[in-house]
Amino acid sequence: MNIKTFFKDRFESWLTKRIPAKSQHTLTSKNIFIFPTAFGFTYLLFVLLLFLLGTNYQNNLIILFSFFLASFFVTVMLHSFFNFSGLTLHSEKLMAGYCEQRIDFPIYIEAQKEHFNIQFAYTKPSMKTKTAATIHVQPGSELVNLPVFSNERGQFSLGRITVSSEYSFGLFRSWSKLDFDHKVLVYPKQRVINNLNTWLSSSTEESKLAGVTQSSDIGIDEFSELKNFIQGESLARTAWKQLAKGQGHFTKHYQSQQGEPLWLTLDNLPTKQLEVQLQYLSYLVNKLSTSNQEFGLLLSSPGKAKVKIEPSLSKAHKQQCLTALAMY
Amino acid sequence: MKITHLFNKLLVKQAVSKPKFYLTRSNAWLLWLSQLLNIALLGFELAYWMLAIILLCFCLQALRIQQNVKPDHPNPVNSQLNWLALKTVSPMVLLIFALLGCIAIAVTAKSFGILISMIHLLSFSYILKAFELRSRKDFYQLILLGFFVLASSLIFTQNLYFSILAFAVLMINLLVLLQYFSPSNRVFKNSKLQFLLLAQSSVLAVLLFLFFPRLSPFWQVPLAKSAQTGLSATVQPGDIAKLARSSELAFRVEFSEDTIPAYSQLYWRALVLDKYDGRKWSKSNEKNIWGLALFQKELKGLETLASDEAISYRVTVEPSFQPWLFALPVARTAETGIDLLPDYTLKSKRIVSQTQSYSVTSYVNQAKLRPLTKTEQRINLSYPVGSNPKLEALGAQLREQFQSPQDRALAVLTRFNELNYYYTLEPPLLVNNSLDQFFFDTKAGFCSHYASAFTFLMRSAGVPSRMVTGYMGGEINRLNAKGGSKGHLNIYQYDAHAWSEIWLKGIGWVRYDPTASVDPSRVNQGFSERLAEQRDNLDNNFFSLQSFKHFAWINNLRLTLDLLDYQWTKLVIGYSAQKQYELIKRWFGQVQSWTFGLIMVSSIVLVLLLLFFINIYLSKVRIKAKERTPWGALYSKSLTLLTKKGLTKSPDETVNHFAKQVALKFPKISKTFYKLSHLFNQLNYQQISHEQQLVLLSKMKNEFKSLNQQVNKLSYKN
Repeated sequence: MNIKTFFKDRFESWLTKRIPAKSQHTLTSKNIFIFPTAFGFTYLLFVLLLFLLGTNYQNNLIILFSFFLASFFVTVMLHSFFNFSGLTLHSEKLMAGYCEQRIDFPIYIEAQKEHFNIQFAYTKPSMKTKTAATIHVQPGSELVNLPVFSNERGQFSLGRITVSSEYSFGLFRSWSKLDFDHKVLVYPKQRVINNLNTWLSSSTEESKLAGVTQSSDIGIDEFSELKNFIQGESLARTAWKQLAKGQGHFTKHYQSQQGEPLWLTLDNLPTKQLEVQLQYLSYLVNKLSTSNQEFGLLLSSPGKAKVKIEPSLSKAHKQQCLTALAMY
Repeated sequence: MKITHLFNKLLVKQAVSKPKFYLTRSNAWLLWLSQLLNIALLGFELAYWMLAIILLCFCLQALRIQQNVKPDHPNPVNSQLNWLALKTVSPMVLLIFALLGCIAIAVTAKSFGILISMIHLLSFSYILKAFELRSRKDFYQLILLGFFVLASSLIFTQNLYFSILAFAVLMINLLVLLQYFSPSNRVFKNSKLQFLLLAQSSVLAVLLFLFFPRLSPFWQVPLAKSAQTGLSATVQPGDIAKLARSSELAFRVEFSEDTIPAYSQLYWRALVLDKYDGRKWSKSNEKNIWGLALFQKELKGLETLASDEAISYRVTVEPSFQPWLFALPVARTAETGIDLLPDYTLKSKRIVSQTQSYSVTSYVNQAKLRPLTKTEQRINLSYPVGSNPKLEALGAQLREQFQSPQDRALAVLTRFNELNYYYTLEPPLLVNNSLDQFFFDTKAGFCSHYASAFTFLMRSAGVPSRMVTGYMGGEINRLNAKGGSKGHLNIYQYDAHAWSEIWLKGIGWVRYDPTASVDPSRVNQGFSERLAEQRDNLDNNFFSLQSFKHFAWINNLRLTLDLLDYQWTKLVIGYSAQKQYELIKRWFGQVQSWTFGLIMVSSIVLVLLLLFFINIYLSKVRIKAKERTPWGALYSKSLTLLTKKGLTKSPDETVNHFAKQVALKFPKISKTFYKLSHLFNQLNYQQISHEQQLVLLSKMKNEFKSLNQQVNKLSYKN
């Protein structure tokens, strides 16, 4: 435990009290910090140099010049502060996405006036979230997307966002570390299984015991019957041939949907590595959801709690399954 | 062959490297302009070859801005703007160029003096820096260097107009920075803001100027070796006529209590020239020619004189880069930086390199009673025998003809007056500065011709005499003549004058001005009309209000400007540690060591608070103004409707967020309220044309009507 981390921790805990997590923050004197930049300090050094020059030449005008620049420094501090304060920021708490893909955190900004050179960045270094956005806020509302990349699945807290501005002369940096309680849920990356159908049909037969159960052939385009089109059904399954012939609007229905639902498990995937298996499953969950097949999820491996999600078919179900994959 | 190949390869490789720093086109030009102006203010101090190099660099720079590179990754902010990246110049080329420049400066350093060489170096590096704008850091360095260049121009010129100009240029320098951070704003809008910020800064700047402790110089600095102006230490007959063509200000004199003496009494003595070598007059180099003890005694004697014999005034001299100071005879001063010479002139201990002022008391009617020493007598009677044989003969004749020195002098003056002598600014050239030629043939000359001839004649006639140069007269500006002040006198270079002094037994040195005999108006009211016209034709100052003296209002304007400049010189340039002490004593009573600190801290705090509240007030006014718009009124009306239903919008809540809250609580009216909020946002924040505003406003009115109905229905059901 060195001094640096000690002070860092003290600062963090102080910051938690000072700027607690909220979904909406308004920048005021209570949460704004302002400090000269490196340029600001160099500027002051130059002002001092000019003062020395003026004093050595006993030249009142150069002295006045240096006082003017010094006084300007103070004015700019106030001006920078007023440019920065008054912004209201609002953000979603949780966003989800896939591993190694860009996940955008939207931040809604409301402003009464123009705000220049507003920069956003995540404070946490580990999530490759350093990529900052710099915007010029117009009066009204505006949206900024803060991209996050992750190489790991799971749920992570993103920590605070540093909002800052170096307007108007680069002499000062006004900043605030806002806590929106941002959490990112990272699903495993989707790993494509080639020849999905043949693989699935072949695997079913071999793995009756292993828990991936399927009463009949999975064959995704195994057609069973046509039914009358009901409002709201996916157009992807419209029987276009019949519609074109003028026989009426039907939708294709598949055998599998009527049969017993499909169970996705960790076994009989083309690998034994857990991470890769999860990546395959992530792909399968997506694939099956888009093709409207009912499926359940059953995750079990030695040393880990068993996860079982009953078969179903909905957006919420898909999200539940993906979350389970992310958290497993 | 191989080397050139390698060199080319190097150049190409370096030139290809991509720039990472972008400016908008308008800002790049603004930066260019600010550099040009910074250098222009120093222009007079730079050598021609340096100016040529700098001009070339500016042309190249302009070309670079023209043929800019479009950035690969345009700046994400305001990508619609015209961003450009300047092509980088190879560091090798820059290095070689910089080295050549430095060598040139080093070679010429000896003739320029240290200060001017440093100024050259500063300007040169400032210009070259613009060619390597690779990152934001370079940009910042360039801006800071610009401040330094601008400030150093104030070493050389400090008058009011130059200061205003420098202030304006400072504004442009800062504007470049502001434009960099808010590139989407128009330059005009930003310059307004820039001006406002500088105006806000001026309060604290003035307080600091008044109360920040004045320090004495920390170390010796090289002084400017600028061209000397005004009178010089040697005078040839034609010299003063040349000086009289200039309408530049030489010095000012303010009379605070005593009345300004008559014009014909205003002989401002600067130099006493007692050595004549046949061509020119100069100061004799011999030491101990004066009886210093006698001189001290004489000065002491002055103190015992009644105060109504004395005239007190304050002289403010413009930089002349010479040590001579000006005063009416017989002058005394208590200033520490000034020597009183036994020939009754004042001499500054350092050369006058910037505006300087001093108080003098003169005893105008006091005779200079001190007896001549032997050496003094010898020097003031000597002349190179045979240099002007005709005049020498005339001198001998005068000596025989008249008994008293006064009569001898009078004879010469009468001759000037009665024979056809002509007073002119354009005297005919004399061969070897022959006084004989002037006196007997050309008979036309300026003051120094007459004074030379007169002094020479007096010496050859056996009267100790010497030449005195200085200024005669002055223009009175009575615009500030009220209360204690009697107004001030402006003495210009064209008031330069030369006259003689002869030594009379029992009286001492007496002034004899032969000019008075030739052109009496010169010593009674200044240049005659003919002479003034001649001067205006010869004046090398193209734009001078002096030439319009006969228009009353222009003359009035000129005098007002002159007064402003004088006040500036007196109050700002002449503000000293002593004046500061007096000011603090007057305002705060006792001056303790902590007074300075207390004043500093409290003024900084006060100014900060003041600016803070002004800013808050301004932003409140701006928001209030928005509420007063018709859409603002409609929106706040609908808010009151909702308040009645128990839903209040907190001030820091945003319009969109509140609309969501309404939707949660009263889903029935959510759709109408969303529309209304959206219209309000559009009207309030988007820049739209007036017609569009009207259309949106009528839509908003309709929404408000239906909202009103819906809200009423709500209460019915509830």
